[in-house]
Amino acid sequence: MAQLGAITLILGLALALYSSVGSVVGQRKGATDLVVSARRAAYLTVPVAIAASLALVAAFLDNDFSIRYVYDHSSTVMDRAFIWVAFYAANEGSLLYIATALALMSAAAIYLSPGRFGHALPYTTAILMAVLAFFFAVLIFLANPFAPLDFFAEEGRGINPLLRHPAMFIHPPLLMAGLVGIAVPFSFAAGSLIAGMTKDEWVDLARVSAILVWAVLGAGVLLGAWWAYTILGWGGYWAWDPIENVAFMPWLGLTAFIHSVMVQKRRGMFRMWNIVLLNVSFVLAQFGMFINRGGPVVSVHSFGASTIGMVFLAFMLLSLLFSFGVFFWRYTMLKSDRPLESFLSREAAFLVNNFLLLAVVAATLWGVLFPLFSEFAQDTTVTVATPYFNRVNGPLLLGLLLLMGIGPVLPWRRSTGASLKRWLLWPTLLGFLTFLLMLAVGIDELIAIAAFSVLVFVASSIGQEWLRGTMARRRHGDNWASGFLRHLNGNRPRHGGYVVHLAILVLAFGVVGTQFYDQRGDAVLRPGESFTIDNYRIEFVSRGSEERADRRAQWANIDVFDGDRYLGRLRPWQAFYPAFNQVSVRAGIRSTPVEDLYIVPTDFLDDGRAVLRVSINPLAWWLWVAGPIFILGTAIALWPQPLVEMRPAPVPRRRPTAPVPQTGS
Amino acid sequence: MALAALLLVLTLAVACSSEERTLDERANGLEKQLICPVCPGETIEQSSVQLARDMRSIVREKLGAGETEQQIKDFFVARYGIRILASPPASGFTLVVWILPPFVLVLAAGGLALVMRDMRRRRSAVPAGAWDATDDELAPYMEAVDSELGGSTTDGDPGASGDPERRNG
Repeated sequence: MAQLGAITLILGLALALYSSVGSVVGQRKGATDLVVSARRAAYLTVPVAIAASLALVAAFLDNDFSIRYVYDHSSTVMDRAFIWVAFYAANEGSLLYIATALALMSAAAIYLSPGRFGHALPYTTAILMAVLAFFFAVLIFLANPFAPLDFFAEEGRGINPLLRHPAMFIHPPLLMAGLVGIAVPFSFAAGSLIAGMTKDEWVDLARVSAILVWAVLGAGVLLGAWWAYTILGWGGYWAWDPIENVAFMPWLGLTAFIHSVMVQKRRGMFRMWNIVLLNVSFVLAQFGMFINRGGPVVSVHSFGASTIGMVFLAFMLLSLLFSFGVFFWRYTMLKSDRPLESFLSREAAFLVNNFLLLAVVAATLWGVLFPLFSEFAQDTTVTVATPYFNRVNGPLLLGLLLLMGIGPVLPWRRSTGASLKRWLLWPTLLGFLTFLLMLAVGIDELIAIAAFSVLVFVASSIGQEWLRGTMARRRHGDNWASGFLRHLNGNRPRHGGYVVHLAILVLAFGVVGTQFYDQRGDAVLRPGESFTIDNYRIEFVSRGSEERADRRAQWANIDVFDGDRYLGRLRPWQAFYPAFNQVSVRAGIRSTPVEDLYIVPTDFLDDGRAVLRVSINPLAWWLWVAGPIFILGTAIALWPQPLVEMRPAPVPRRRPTAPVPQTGS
Repeated sequence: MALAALLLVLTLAVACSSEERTLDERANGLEKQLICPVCPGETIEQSSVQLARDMRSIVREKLGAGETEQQIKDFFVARYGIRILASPPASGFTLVVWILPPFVLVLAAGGLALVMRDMRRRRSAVPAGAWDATDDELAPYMEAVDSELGGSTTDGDPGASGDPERRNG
């Protein structure tokens, strides 16, 4: 198996290199045969990468501990289902996964791109295959998953205990696919620039692929938060940790792109800007890979230090040079002569949205890099953690939320006072009403109240549009339900966007609740004793323990009361894994839409007492509800459109009467 | 009138929010600002290791004894160095962390405003009607929407029906 795997990797590298070089040479020399053969080579990387992956899976199934990677991440007592997780548990396997995912996505992108993208396709193929070749090369020379173990082993070490969680089956694959997938929209744009395409053929392709990648990445980040919440045992879900930040930043970049590309699609503006956004997202994704793989930053959950960090740094710099090199080379092609007509237009709102998103990216990047900078310049070790990010990014994110309620109801080009009043009066009133009401009820934390009011403002702005649309349909004979559905169906990208906005609102609701109103307490309890926090009484009933082949698990049986009313039993546990010298905990969580009661057993003392960390995390439930809504919204937005809407008259465009130097359209 | 009401509300709000915070709240707040020295990236509020637990009880003890938050922070900084703080102090060299983002933000906002003004200026340079191409392109779609809605989009929403383009164009 090891040999088969090693051979497939080399074959993969050869095919990707051939495809990359062949595409460019063939296109330059006009050798159609070569271009076609290069494209087929790109398709062929898919079965080759899958074969390599299967070889690794087979090695895991065989318990082939002569392979180092299998020895490090598997054992005979491990539940077979965890082979799925073990596959990408460390550098070697995760890079193989990334190569496979990229091969698949590239082939799909090339296959699905329409004929009119024709002469740009070879360049797109070349870029995708160059990236793929890079991963195959790293797999062969620096992180070979099929490398042999240099001693004899009867049994493997087993899987890292922190990875034993349902979210681990989906979170890493989504995150990695999302990060590497940014190469697809990027290479559509860069390919068409290199080919010298003056029209916006790449826009729909880049938009659809960017939204897909963006949804995958976003879902991956959220699942990671869920994993952290339930297994890392600190009651939090997001720590502004470098590894989290480097996944978040490209996602923000893509968010900016999928918004601003709408302006190019509808109004032919922002051509240069959209390319910049894709370039930035692509480079940030490479930066994320670099930090993940032996980057210089301390983090809770990185893949551990390794020499391949430098290679990824070099690749990131190369991406930076290449993407902006192409951009400046083709700069003049990208000019757009459409003016911005008004500051109160949707175009302007999109600009402000992009500005705020990039500001969050910049502030986050600064926070990630400052410790390095300080170490280097001043030789002092500093920490830049949550307080910095909350204080700097908090207001920016709140601004973005606010904009979410304004931007979508502004018309393209310019708006009138009447239309502003028409669309913003009620949401503003409701927002203020919320603010006053919450004050009157005596809720503290002014910033949180302001944030809740903004949420209400945005929600009612969306609700108002849906209500008016539905009522308009109703007047034409629909009932409420069918009217609403047909209203949504009328412009799916728009209404899918609204649903995604709702998901963000729900997420923000949870974030504000947990950030501003959480309570924590430490309790050391004997069996029978109880601890009171807020309105909860927590009674430590007894403890249990269990010896397994790979771990020693202990848990606390805890009865939860609200006053005297019995609410249920929680069983938070922790397990010690000798092979990893590591403790894994699973919090006991009683979740309701109002608040989570969250109990982590931090220690079981020899005298029978249990040390518990008890938290109340208000509104945490909403964080996870946001996920499915987010996916639903993306699905609605991407559902294939009626042709007339997607492609507003692609070919012969009617020229305006006035002679305008429209280089770009 | 509305402005006066708003001002009143804000003053009230500030007055309400300045009430005493309990020891628990202050302790929780401070625990979020101290990093656990043996678990990179986690604050003592999050971490469940022994050291973090000890530090938490020290924080509560000292707060109970009447020490200020700054005194407690200084106590830990003296022992573990500046990296114990979850975010660098806004003084000396590390002031840069805090100064730079708002500074760049303001600069960039100024730049954006200039660019937008420039884009708007170009409007007068382009002959009227030149940018109506979009409306031509969108015309089939608009008609489709119109017919679907029974010919009246005046009451529609700004995006789904696209009517503002019509109204303004």
